[in-house]
Amino acid sequence: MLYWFSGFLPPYPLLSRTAVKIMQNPFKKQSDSHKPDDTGGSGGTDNSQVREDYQRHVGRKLLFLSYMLLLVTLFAAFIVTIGPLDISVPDVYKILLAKILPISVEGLPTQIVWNIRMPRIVAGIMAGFGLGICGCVMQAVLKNPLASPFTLGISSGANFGVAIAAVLGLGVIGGPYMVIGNAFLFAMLCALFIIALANFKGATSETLILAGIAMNYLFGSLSDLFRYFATDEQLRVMISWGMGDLSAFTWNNFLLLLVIFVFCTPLLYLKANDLNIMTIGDENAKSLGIDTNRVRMSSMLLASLLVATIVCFTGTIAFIGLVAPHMARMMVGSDHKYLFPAAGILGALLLISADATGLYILGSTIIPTGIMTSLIGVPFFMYLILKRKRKEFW
Amino acid sequence: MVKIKIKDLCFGYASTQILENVSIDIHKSSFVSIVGPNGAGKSTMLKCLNKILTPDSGEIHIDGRNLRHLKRMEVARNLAYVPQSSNRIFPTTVFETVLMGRRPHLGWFINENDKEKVWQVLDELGIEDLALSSFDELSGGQQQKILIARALVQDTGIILLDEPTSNLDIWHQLDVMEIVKKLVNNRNVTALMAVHDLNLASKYSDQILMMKDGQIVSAGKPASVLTSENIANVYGVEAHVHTHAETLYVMPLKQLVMSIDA
Repeated sequence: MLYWFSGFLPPYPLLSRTAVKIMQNPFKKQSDSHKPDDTGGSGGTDNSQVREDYQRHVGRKLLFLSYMLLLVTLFAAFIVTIGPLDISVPDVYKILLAKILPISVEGLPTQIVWNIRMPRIVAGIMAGFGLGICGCVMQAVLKNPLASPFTLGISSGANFGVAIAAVLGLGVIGGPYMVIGNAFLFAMLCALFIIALANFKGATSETLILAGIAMNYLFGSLSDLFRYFATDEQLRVMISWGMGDLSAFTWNNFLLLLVIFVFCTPLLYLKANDLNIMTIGDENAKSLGIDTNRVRMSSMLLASLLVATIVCFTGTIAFIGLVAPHMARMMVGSDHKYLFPAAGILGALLLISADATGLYILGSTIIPTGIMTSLIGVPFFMYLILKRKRKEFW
Repeated sequence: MVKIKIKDLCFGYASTQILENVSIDIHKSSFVSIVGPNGAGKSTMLKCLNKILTPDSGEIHIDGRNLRHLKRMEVARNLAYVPQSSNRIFPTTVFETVLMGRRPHLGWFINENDKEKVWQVLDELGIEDLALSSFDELSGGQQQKILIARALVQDTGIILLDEPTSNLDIWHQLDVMEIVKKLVNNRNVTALMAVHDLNLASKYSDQILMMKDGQIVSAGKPASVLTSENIANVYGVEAHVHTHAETLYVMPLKQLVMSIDA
């Protein structure tokens, strides 16, 4: 699979040919430029060659995206058939088909496939996709390759919210949703703090990352403090949440996540052109007509809303938001029209495959999702870095 | 015909005043160079014109329309800006970089017309072959040309250039000046360029604005602005001005003062 990926790296092979061309006839070229009829006649084979290359370049990105999408589907179809309890492959699909076709199935296997395995896969795909695109958006509007829900302190804020709910039993909303409600609230508070810092104090992106890391320490210490005084049962809630766990997700939560997801994702994707321009700096972006503060504020708000919703259901999954965008950038380049979906799909792929490995690798013991994501993702990411010829990988 | 009308323009940061009561009329399809020492306010003036900075007081009119009442997108359809350099965090290809210049004219969809426009401009500048190269891997001269290409696809009547030649070798300096000169002559574009090289300014511009400490000290044809007296006053440098092939050349001889910083 790794070898196969490398075929999609954007090509940069055209330098030498150009150098020759510019040296040949700069003045001749310029003397007949700026005439309206200039393009057609002087075309020649050389020019149509580069246009063809460009078409291929775009085609390759689209092809890559569809391959990745296919891969996610295949993985999901495979993962649904594995788990601690042996259910035969035909049985699994019969259970799934029963949801749309009039076949009757019942019993424990139905419960397991439909209420345990499927929500886990759906949560994995949505969370992975969401974290990937949010990381991508945050890196673009903050012009910083280190920006991600985790480095900006959003995840650790949520973590602290969970600690308060678990240890003090205090929450914005009571009952079964107390942990989730707190996680969401504190994640949003952290995000709003960062957004306010960016927009009202005009803080640079380096300052924001520093502030985010400082928040990480602050909330980390506060959570540790709570952990220190927690009982065993409270500790268990905090730890399983803090390591990221998809098993907590149920169909009851699905609708809420879906609503937020369907609201935020298209709105963010509509900004693809503006995100491209945001990466070249505020002054340049303004000169191209972009209201930089507004784009930054609205994108960060939407991304934070999505991240907070995801994080409160799945816990801390740190790696995806930071690294899925970088992987995607290595494969499809920096145009957010392609980068945005690629980061999402790669995030989903990473998350479900890591989660499935965690489910399977130790037999009956399930390794939490957050741990597996890093264990699988980091070596893959390192491989991409080492393989890349460029010195900077983003 | 007056294209840009600047009246009593003032701009300053908390502690320092950058522009003080700058007033000037700039005519359509003229090549205007702004010269002056570092910190004279050349770049600031360009950025006020472009709404990157908001003036403290004074008015700017573009084609008779008050800049304050124009939306940023509307401004970007009338004025293009070529920055001195553009360092970016993520690698973009040349084609993607130039395509950004179409943003003021499009929504989400990029249609074939926009792409064709990009190809056309790349072809005119003789850099079509670079289309798929990474912007960061190009030489300074090529990068400058690509930033100019980005401004050209913006399709504006006015182009602002902030010291476009300062990092370039002499071949690329002439290259950039020729491109701008042709824009002015063939497409009736009005060009406003901040530039340090007095000889380039003299060779190519129709009008020179000489600035010092946020004010325009002298404005007019190169011959009336580039005099030994003006250069001594503004730069604190003794210079010899001579004519060669109908162009004025300035040769700096020695410093006249210990410091020219205000």
